[in-house]
Amino acid sequence: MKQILHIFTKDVRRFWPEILTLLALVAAFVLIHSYIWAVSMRNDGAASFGGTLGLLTTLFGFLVVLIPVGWWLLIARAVHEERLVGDTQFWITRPYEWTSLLTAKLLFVVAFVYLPIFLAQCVLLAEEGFRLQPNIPGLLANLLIMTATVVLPLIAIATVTSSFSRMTLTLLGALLVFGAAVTVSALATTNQMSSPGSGLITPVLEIVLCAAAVLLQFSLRKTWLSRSLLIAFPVLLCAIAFLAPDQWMINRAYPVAGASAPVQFTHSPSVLRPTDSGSLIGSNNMNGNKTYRIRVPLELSGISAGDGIASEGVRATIEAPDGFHWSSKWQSAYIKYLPGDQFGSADITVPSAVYDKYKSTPVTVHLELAMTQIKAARATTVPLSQQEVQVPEFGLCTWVKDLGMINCRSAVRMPQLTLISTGQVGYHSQGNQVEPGSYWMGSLEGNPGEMHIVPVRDFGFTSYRGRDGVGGAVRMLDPGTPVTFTQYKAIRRLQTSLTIQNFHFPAQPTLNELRDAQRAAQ
Amino acid sequence: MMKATIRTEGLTRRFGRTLALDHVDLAVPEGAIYALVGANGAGKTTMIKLLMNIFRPTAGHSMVLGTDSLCLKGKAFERIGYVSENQELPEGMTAGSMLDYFRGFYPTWDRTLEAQLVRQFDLPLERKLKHLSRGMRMKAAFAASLAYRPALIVLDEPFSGLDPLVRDELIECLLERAPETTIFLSSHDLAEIESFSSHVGYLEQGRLLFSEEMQVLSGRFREVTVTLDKPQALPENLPAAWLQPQTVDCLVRFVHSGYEEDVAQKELAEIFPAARDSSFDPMTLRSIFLAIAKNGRDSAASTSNRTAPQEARA
Repeated sequence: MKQILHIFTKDVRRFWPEILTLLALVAAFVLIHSYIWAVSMRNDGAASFGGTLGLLTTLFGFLVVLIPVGWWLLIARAVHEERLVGDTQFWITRPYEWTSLLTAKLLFVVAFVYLPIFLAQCVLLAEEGFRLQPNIPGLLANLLIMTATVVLPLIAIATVTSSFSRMTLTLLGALLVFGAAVTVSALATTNQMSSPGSGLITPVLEIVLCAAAVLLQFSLRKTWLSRSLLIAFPVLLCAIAFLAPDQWMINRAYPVAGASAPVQFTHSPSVLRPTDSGSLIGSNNMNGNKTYRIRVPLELSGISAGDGIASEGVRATIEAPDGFHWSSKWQSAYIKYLPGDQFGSADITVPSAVYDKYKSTPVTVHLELAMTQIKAARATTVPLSQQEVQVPEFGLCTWVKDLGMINCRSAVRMPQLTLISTGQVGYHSQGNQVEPGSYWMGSLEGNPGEMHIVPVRDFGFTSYRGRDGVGGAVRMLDPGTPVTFTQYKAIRRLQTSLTIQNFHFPAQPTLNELRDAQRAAQ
Repeated sequence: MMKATIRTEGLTRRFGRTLALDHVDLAVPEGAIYALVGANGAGKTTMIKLLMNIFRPTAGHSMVLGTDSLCLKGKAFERIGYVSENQELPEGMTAGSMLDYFRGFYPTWDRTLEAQLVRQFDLPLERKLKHLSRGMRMKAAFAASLAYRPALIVLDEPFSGLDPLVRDELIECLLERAPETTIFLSSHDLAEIESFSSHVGYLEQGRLLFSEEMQVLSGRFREVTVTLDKPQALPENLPAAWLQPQTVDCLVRFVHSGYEEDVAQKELAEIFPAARDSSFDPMTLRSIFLAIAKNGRDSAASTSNRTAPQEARA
């Protein structure tokens, strides 16, 4: 312990200018955030972004980048002070215990990387009206994610390089190699949807290999072996992408429910043009590969009262009378069925070659659907008010009357999957999907934290009663309108399928049909 | 059996295809000032780095202060002072803060000795190490390695590139510590080590040609000059201990590497019965090593001359 503190104290004395610079950056981060927040509060949440405020907002954006750069510099300086590469360093023939050296460096990182940002995040949370105690685990989870994605890789690279310039070059090289590995992995992966838990592979692999490299380097200074471990990371990433059977991963995450499925899907073409089995909702022409997006209408049955379905993936197989057979990859789906919903759809992307060849021939379509059965866990109804209201386990929400928006903030991470319903017309502030009366927010993943320096997640949506006629003035909601936040939790993941005989590909819409559709949208 | 502070057996180190150290057997007695000499690239630094567990041997092993050098780490270095010509110091620290820092690692650190060394070396404590001259940095390194009274001081080319004044100061300081410690140093500056070393070992191309007490070494080497009546060709089959024999007119000169007065006189009388006069002059360490080195080179050259025609034919 004495040696740990001895080395730590020396590092503090040596790097006080760097430490002070980083602390100043973190302090500026907190102060600027406070100022922007205060102005935003004075303006009832509608901050204007001109003049000083605009400048400070830009500066705040820079700080969010500069602080990690400061971490990089400080970690490099601390590790290279007793560098582990080479055979001429003063310390290797002094009575250093490698465990003490490693612990001293980690203590340094905790004291000047983790602690300042943790305290800053606590201040930010408190300032924005969140209670600290329930959010401490989330903040610690954020630090853990920060360790896996930023701090540990920086320490690992610092231990296998001899100077800051070499570390910088290695880091740039590592980013390029990592980017290439991710690209290769994406090419190797046949799925277009990721199975739950697959996102853990990269950080877990990264933590294990980086930690092994750091331990090996501190204990034995086997630089090439440690470097090999770090090089193994992108290689393994590619290897896993090539070797992991996609179907196996999806089946593992979404077990096939079979006859015991809590929900059955059947084809429901009646609401469409009688000649088509679905509707053509878009086309894409990327790198010369033209595809059509087809919406297949479905009807749900058998689902328990109060339960809903979050459809997350779909895979289509098409069989033609001439023996032609085509199977898609797993494609992402983001369709949610609320308790009581009876009709829905599955969107599939089909290559133009398949569509063009069989658009006038009935085919058999087999759909496999990966989904999560969800259940309403808690519903909170609050009256629309310009005063901030707290929605338990969701966040804090304010009605910005002039903008016709409901702005919400959640602490540390996006909230659990929640349906926000005003009973009126709602528009997602970040998208254009119209969901009359309701708006989905959050996810079912239930991640304990997210990698963000700013610990508050802002989101919002416009909500109003409608317009006076087509394209007319917006009629705002009245104060006191009840807004219901219904939180959903996952019950189980499952996979089910259905086969549609005599499926007719939808025809491409005519100009008149497109005009009608446009009018309907207005 | 003599107690050895350092002992190696078959110590070997390869770097790829290069054999840097070839089965070295060496013993450094306790209390000795052992000088390991050899030309550049002979393997001196490799040897020291193996002893200090900076490199791992390819074969063989070594014991330092009773510890296998492979286990030499952490606390074991509390008893060893190591200074190397190319050792990196904590450049950003001042000389004073470096001494303050190192003090915390050694339970035996002697503050009085530290103060004495600072005075003796006239160390500028407030100046950063990176702003010090090479000589001053070496003095700082010495002070930081002697102040805890180590049982073994290992120095790798400590005087290389230093001016004579600094060298004398450092040697003087070492000699003051000599009674309480064992000193193992490498150098190619023979004139300096001759004045204070008690033992010497000679490395050539990774092989230890000999390792013995300085007094014994000086005693067995003589520069021999024989004056003949008339010029005479060198006889064949001269004793192996005669290095670099050559004739100039009536003079025969060679280096005797196994000199014993009675035996040498008798030997000379047998080989040169017509010798008019002969002298056996003591040699400096530098002359001894030059003779050995030249002899080794000549032997290598004659070996390669002998093998070259065969290789050409092949």
